[in-house]
Amino acid sequence: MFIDAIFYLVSILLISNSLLILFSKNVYRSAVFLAFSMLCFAAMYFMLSAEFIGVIQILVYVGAVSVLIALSVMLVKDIEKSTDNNRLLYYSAAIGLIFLILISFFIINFKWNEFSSSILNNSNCLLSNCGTDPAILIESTNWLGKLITTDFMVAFQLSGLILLASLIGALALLRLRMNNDSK
Amino acid sequence: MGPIRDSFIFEFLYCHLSLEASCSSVRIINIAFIPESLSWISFSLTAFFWIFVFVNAALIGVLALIWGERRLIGKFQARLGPNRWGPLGLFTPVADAIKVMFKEDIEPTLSDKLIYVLAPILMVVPVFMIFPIIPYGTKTFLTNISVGVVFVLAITSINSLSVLMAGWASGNRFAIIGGIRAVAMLLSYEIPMGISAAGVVIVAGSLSLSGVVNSQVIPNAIFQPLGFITFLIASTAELNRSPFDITEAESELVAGYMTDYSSMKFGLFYLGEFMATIASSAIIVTFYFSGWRGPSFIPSEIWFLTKWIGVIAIFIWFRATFPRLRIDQIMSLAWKGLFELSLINVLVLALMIAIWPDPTGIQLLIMTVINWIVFLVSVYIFGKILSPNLTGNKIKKRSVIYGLD
Repeated sequence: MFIDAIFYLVSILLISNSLLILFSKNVYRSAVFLAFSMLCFAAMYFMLSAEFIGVIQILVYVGAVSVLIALSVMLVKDIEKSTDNNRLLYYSAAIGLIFLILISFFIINFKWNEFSSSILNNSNCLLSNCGTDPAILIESTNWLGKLITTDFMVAFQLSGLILLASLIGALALLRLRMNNDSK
Repeated sequence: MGPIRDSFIFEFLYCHLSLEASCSSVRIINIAFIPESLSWISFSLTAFFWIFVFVNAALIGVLALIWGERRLIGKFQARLGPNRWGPLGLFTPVADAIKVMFKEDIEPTLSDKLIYVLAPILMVVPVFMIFPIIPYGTKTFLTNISVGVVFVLAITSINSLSVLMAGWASGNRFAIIGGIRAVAMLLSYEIPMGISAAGVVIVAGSLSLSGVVNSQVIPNAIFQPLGFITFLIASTAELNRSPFDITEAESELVAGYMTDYSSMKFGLFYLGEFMATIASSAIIVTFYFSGWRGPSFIPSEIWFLTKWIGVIAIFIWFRATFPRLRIDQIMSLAWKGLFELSLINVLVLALMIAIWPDPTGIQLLIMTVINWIVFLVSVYIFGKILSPNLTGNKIKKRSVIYGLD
């Protein structure tokens, strides 16, 4: 009951922040509300016993990504009333609706329980009976770390490679532009 | 109720409130009155009590730090420092706090009112969240979360958003420039800070702060000096303290992102900064000075407190003696110096831990010697590369290119 109350509190905060992102006219305020909703997401992860993902959510999305978004929002022409003259409003609404339908379809039809138990059974489970044991939730970080360095090693390394490639690409573009400017 | 019940101080109070069966062994006096079915009431009462204690202890700590800092800097600069209010000027910070609270609260006309108010709050609240997770003694901690090290890094990264919000919401050019500079600096120094913390995690084999303390047979400051130095410099920058206080450089940027803040809103920024210094010192003690560990004839809490005051004194010493760096010097120190040094530290540690996963006494000594050799050699090489040419030709050329004269 106690946990339920906190869950509903965080949900209300999350939903209201998400709505404020959409409906506030000031783009900079939207960026700030985005950061707050990211914090609420992190609280959700904490309640699902995924502490590591929650903490990384704060570190990456609140500490870095929303700062970058807030910085880039400063380049918008009319920050105070920019949503009024948004020409792409209907296109973006349509695309958002399509994504909403697709995601809700996926969530409803996905066999969550089977998926989680299949992962637990296939990987070499690190705890004795981790299918039903709540200890798996407390030790989730440990479990995640070992899984990343064993079963999902290739995927983990590939994601690192993609990040490195995007970094080098960004640097190359910047260098190109700087060379052009100096000429 | 999960891992929070590991904590002795939490369990002690909880068991004197709740009639839970598992509690009877902890209870000293039989005064419990809340039935087991209403355990959430006793849980919240205990939690609120300890939150109250921690918040107020942090505030008193800030007052003590302001007094200590001003006295110590006075000593460093061969003057008296505050000495009028109370014995040794002890009530000066109290008078300061009262003065700040009763000042007029001015809001600039061009400011974005909502974000203007939210920014100082976002600066202070995350810092409070660091204090409960630090192990102050063998049993004295409020909660031991399993991802403590990453949690600390994540919570300290929130203040960059607050700085940017404050800079933008003031509607003032100096504030925006100050805010952007501060964010560039904070984001750059988060990277060497995180990587050197990875060195601590590699040695400890655990992300929880208790695990980090338990693993340190040799304190990490001696065991991995390279990681310690990079972490210390990076956290000084994260705290906006001098020599990295470019964000509030009065002579260059008025007062950076805080230009338009007055009264208690300014007081909150001030409070957040000083509280972050205290919290950061506690983190450095936990990571690099083996936390509460020490010879057992003195209680562990006293050991922690002594080391804590020592690290705070190091920060004050930095502030009193080092001149302020320019923004380009700050950025090149982060990206050309500390980033590589922390990577070298992690590489060397990871290689050695891969060879000896569970080092014994003599192996630990060999590892320490190797770490010191790597530390001295790499600091010497990077010092040679990064130090400005003493004849002065190089500096002049570069400053002409960037238009910095």
